[in-house]
Amino acid sequence: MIQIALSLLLAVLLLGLMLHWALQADIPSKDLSAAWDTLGCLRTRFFPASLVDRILDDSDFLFVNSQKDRQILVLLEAERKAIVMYWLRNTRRQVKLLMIFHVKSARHYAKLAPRLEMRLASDYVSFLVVCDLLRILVRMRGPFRARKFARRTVAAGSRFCAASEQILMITKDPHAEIQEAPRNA
Amino acid sequence: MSNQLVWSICIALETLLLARAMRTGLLKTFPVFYGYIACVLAKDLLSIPIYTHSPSLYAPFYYTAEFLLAAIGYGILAEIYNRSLKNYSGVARFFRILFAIAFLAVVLRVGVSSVGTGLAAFSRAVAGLERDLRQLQAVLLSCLLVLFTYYRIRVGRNVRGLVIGYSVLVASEVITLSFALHPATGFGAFMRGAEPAIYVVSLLIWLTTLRAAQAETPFDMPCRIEQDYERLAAVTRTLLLRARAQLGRVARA
Repeated sequence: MIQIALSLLLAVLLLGLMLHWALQADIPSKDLSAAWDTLGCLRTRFFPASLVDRILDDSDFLFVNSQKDRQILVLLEAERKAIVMYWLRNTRRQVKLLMIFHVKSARHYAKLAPRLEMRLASDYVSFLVVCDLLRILVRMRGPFRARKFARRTVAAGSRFCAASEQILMITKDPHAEIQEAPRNA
Repeated sequence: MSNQLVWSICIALETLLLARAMRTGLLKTFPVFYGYIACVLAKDLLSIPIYTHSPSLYAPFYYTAEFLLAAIGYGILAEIYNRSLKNYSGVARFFRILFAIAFLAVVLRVGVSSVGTGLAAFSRAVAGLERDLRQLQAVLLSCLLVLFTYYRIRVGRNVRGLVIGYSVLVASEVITLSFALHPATGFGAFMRGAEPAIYVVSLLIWLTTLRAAQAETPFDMPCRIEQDYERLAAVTRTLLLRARAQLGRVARA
């Protein structure tokens, strides 16, 4: 019975992958040039931290909450939610472009490092999962109430990520102009 | 009646595919694939006379032919691999590593499962071996498709059709063979009946996509940054980690 279930699973997986590949659109050169721009942009000014801090600063929320005006509170939440959702969408799009740029470049390299590539892929997938979970949480519970749940989600992701950061230290070019990833990642 | 109709359609489509390959020159491009089709055609043509005149020989003939076809299937995989990844040596190396891992895993599994089973009936043993070969092909095709999707490998219309048709065929074989060692009831019986029809679908896909020899997809030359792979991977990874750190800030804010 297990054998039959495994065979069915394998066949469905194969057909699913084949359909996904067959329907996958090729990246137009316009997108690749956008990826170039994204890489340049990300390397110089990567998601300004002050902006994120400002969006999620709950002092406004606490102040409005203390005024006991329900209407303003609802309005504040709706606006902050829209901004956070926009920021998450934009972050996801930029990271996606970054990965497209990476794979379209790395695929030509003869000495492609499978282990490094697999780590990159797992980092990317875990980023997407965390990002999508945050989007769902923010959409369902609002930016302020979602934080507690999101904290747990990101903590789990960070534990996984901490080990993989070590690889970066090994492969990093000493002359690279990039900055080290924050320790609290 | 319907079985005979499907069988006749298969023979007609296989003959058409081979005749067209000789005309278009694709026979030289995909020799193993067309060799496979020729073997299937020979098996189809010999099946009825053997079944009619020597029914006792039919089961060994059928299972041996199926086993040989499953083995030739690896040649088709090699052909797909050679054609699609010839300009992507790094990805090809990646696939060779995945191939070695998958092959080792299946050999180990077959070895473990065959210990203590003793001498099984010939057809049963061959059916089991064929099932394992097809499963390994399904795993390898899946690995290849994951690499195609992840690295956005561009392939020509011919190779594309070959991959799609062969994936459909292998998937149906994997399902059917998993029921081969069990009584034909329910879904197993349905799949045994549907397998020839699914094979017709594969043949139609090949007939459509291998209509004419298609030029290879132009190879886009890597630019300057693409030559510095380690640096590029490090930059990508740093930015990915930083993006996730920013998500952490959202959660902790």
